[in-house]
Amino acid sequence: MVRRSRVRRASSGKRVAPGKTYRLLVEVGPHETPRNLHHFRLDHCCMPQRPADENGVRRLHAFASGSTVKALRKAGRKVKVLADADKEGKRLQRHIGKGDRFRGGRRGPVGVGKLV
Amino acid sequence: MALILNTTEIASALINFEATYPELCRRLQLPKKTYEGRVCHALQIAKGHAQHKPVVLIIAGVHAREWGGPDIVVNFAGDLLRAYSKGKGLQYLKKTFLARDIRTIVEESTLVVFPCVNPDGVEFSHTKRYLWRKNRNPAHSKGDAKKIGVDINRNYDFMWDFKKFFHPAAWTDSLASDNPAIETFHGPEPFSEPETQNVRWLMDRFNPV
Repeated sequence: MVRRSRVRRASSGKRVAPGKTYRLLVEVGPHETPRNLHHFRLDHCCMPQRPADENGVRRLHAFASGSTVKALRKAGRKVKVLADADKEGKRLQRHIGKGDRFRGGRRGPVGVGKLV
Repeated sequence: MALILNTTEIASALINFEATYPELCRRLQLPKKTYEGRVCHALQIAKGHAQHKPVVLIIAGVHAREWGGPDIVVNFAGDLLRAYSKGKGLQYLKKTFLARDIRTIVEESTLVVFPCVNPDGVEFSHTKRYLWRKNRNPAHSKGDAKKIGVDINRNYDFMWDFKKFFHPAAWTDSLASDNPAIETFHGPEPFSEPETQNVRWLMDRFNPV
């Protein structure tokens, strides 16, 4: 008997695993609001949202589990998986400063503005 | 790529500003420690201490995973102090603020910056779970790590009781939640959290803001 993989292939080509978290775009109809997706419990709080594209298509930028991605697709929703959120987070965490570059206050930030 | 400020560096930056520009700013120790025992500070920037000047309060680092806010606030404060002390203006790409604009801010208003309202959450997002949003209060978790924390930006008293103020059709997770497992859990009552209490303290101290 062929053992079925637990990993589901995403329509965007990215595989999703049920227990992992993904950053994704979910297509929203022209007369819909995030309320229409409420039962999927997407995490889109304070996420940057893109305006509608040239065709008037809107997509909700959110985080969701692999299980939720599967449920969205089963419900006929178009989902584009942008990133494995956990891997993306680990990569971003490498950009957090280590230690104390300001040495307890003995040094200070230079700032980003140019004096004129 | 410039490295993002960690919570230690945010605190050290304020210490440096106070030491470097003692005539222009002073650190304010907020009254409430976080759940993990952190002491928070804000920075008051003003030339002189006239009571009638309008007060502007800028806060950041409320939702832990929204990185960059504390950096923006710290760098803005540093730029402002640096420019004023040298009698200069500031330019950010194509936008220029003249020296007189800088003088107006420092001499005709009181600016209060609180760059890291939720240092426990920010630290957790920086070092453990990137997607973390709330503070780190476990009081309502019943031992479940996924239920730790209160959304500080839902813990203020303005329309805290969302079910009273909003139609049921608007009750989504992004509005607010009374479920500790949800990212927008508003806490057991308004201002239940030390982080929110610290912001309220600043609002009361500098009333009106």
